Amino acid sequence: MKRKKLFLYCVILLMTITVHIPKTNCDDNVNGEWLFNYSMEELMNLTVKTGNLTGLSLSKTPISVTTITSEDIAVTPVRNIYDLIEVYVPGAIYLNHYDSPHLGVRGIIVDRNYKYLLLVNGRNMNLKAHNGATSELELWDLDDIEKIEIIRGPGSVTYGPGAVAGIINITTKNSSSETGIKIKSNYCYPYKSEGISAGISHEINNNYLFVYGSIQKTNGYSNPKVYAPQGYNRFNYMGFDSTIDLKPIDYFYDYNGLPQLKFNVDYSFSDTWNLTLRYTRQGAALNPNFGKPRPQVGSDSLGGILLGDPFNLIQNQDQHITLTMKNESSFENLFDLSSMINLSSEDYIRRTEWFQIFPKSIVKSMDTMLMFQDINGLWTHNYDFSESSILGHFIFNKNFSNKFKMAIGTEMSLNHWGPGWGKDRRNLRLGDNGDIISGTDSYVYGSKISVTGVPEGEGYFVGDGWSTFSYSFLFELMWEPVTDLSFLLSARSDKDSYSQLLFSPRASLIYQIEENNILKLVIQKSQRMNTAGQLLIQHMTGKQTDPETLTGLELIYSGLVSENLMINSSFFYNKLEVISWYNIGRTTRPTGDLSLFGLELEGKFQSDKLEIALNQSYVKQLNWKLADSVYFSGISYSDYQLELNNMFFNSSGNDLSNWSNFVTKFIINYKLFDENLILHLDSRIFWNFEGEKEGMKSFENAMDPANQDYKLMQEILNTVRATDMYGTDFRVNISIGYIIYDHFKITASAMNLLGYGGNKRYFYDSGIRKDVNYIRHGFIEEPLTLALKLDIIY
Amino acid sequence: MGKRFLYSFYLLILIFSYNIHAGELADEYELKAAFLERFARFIEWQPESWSEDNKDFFEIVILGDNPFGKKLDKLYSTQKIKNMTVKIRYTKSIDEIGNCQILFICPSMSDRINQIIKKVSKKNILTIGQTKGFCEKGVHINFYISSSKLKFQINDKAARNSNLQISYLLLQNATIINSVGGENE
Repeated sequence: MKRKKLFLYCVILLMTITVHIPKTNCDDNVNGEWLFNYSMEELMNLTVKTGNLTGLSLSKTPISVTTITSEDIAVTPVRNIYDLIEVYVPGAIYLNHYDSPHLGVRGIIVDRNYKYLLLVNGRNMNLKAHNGATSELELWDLDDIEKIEIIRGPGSVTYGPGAVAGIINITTKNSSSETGIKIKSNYCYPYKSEGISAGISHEINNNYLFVYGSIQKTNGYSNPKVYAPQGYNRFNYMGFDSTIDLKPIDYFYDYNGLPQLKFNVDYSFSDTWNLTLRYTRQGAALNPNFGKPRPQVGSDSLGGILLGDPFNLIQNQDQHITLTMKNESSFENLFDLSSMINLSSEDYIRRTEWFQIFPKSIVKSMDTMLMFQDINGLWTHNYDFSESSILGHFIFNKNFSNKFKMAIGTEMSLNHWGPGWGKDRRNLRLGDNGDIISGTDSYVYGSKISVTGVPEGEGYFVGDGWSTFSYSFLFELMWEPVTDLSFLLSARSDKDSYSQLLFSPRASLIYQIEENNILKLVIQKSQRMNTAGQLLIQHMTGKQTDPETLTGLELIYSGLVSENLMINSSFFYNKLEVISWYNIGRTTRPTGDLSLFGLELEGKFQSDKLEIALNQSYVKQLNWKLADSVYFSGISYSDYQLELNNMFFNSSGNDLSNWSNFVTKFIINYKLFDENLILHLDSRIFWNFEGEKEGMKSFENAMDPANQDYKLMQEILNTVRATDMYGTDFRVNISIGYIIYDHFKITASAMNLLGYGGNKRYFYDSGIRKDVNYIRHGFIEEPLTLALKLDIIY
Repeated sequence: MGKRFLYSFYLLILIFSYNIHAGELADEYELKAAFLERFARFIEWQPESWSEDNKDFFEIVILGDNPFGKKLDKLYSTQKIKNMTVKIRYTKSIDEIGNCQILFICPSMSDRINQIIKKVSKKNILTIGQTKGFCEKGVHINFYISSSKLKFQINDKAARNSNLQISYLLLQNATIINSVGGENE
């Protein structure tokens, strides 16, 4: 049946392509000779056919890319870049998780964002020590962004190690794109989020300056509807059961109540130089799974525990400052050189989910108890460190002729990990087990009481921190042997002091069938470097393991069907050798081999006033095979073997966990009254999470009437089914923007307008929660959201 | 339900593909191509603009990612400018601009516009663009679209600096940009 369905899709795809090719042949006809007979006035009065004019164009770059422009950002009701990606990128989704939200593109979603690469103005912004793509993504304010390009699929070959699943490439506004002064303010209900931003562009003696800043304060959405496990036999909507003393978090509440900040200075001078200083601070309560725990504030006279008010404990905060100097130079008839020197420092804190609570018989001193529960102390911080680097990036371009071009480049980086900004070495803490610390002087070393400390005799000691040196070489060759056919051969090699040599090659063939039809075939291998924390421990213990590798094949067709209509289709096959951290062995190890394929279809119609974009994504797992000695994972339940409380949970189905195989997205923009009024609607539909439903089937199959937990499991299953968990989720967002007297713009928007399926935002399912209970699943029902923005432009 | 939706999606694409016809409108890039010839009628180049090698040609250089496709080549295969055969040259390198009468700067070069202007501003070359802000940075003529009509700005001061004489007949049809930040109708 499934093969039949696939066959049908392929037939339709072929039909679409075949139908369109002759049509575009007609468009290739040039018949504008008559224009030369017209006078200047007559030419100026002709109506221009829109299409390419307004942005529809075909790219010859061998990647599948979604570009979100500043105009898109202005009209789309979103809370951050994650929302934006989910609205615009075919198939993309994000789930909440312990660290932060996690992004999924083309079926690849794991419990960290380290398979994605984040770039801001060409600079790699990933947090190498732990989470990968982190900064920028949770910021509410997006008004300083010129465009975001999301490359779907691997791109390590061009952009750097880490880009095995996708790239988020942010370009910020600068003095060339901005003029005058802009002041913007916003309010969003029910998140109680308010912000203001200002940008000014100025020219000084042919040099250009752009300064931008914003502040956004969010108190969060109180008492959200959260379905989550709350203990071994407790599950239901959090806060709705009076017998359970756990309130849900204030969703999106700022880290410790500190507002988000953004500051950017861009200065272009002497024609070829550009200097950018950028600072961002983000942090929000985005993992509703654990609720708001209550700290212990003392003991009663009988030694019992006195609890304080519930607190948004599980949060992380990221601050990132970068200073970048860029230059583009041409050396007479020899080559072009683009250079970048960058200084960067990032401060990261991730707090734990529970307060540690002790009766007086165990912790007698109140000071010790308060120390364990200090929200700004290391006992509640699983991660607390800074990551700094000095980076040099140089690319030489040489065009031997129009048919033969070459680029070579290098990137060098001196990296350092140390205590968080302004903190002493005893506060340093990171690593997958939280055991990379300064030494025996660490605040969390050696306690026999707290479970969050590093036990005596354990830990990896780094003193004030440690440094490594990374270097990369890049190469690209373009050869066009005949008109309209070009070959592109690219390769990148990366090495860190503690890593193996990584190699990511790509070969692509680009064939321009006609002026308006392009076919691209890409084959590539993309490798991901382990995190800096993992590499350090492996170095200290004398272990070295292979990097994660993705091998991919992709066929892309792009066509301009008419002046107003563009279609894109992409068929891809990926094989991923998954690597993850093994707690017991203190090393990375193979988790399994995943193979999948997918199809993405996009259509975009654009006229003077109307823009309609529609895309459909289908991703299907072909096979998932666990590695030796690995019994479960968050990748799929199709290879799964777990024994829990004398019951056996076995494999089920052949689909990806945490993934909706079918995803449909739809965007409409309509402009009225000389483009002064803009209406926007976007919608996304996740058509069932097949892999998760198979996980529930595995759960059901394991239920044994003879087992003491049978009734409990039955109750869990019934409750889960009553919530329509992993059913179809259909969201609709709208906005209306109106420009008054050219200088004022007011935008009103609503998110989750219909909410068929409850607007569920699921938690990442890692395949097991045996430490808590049987329930692996949970979600928050995101509320109807109303927002108002006012822009003043001069 | 998913399958039905997908089929509707395709149906929509097919309907659009068959039902959108251009009508009696001007293609954007054919129109821009025609304007190049029209501009030349109202602009005087210095004789030294033509070197020995290209004295019989009127040369147009397209710098950056070519948005015209093959339209320029086809339209100017027979059409002449100032009674001279038109030679079209495409390049992405600033160093390869060389000698020409018109330099069309494509949007893909917007990051390097200051560098381009520095290189050609003292030469007797007419620069034309289609990117917001280009004229303010020293490009002589910049196309823009307003109410579906093709219009253009002229930076007359920059043109005079390049020793180009623009007729008032052309200036009166344009939005005049005299200096950075100063715009006069």
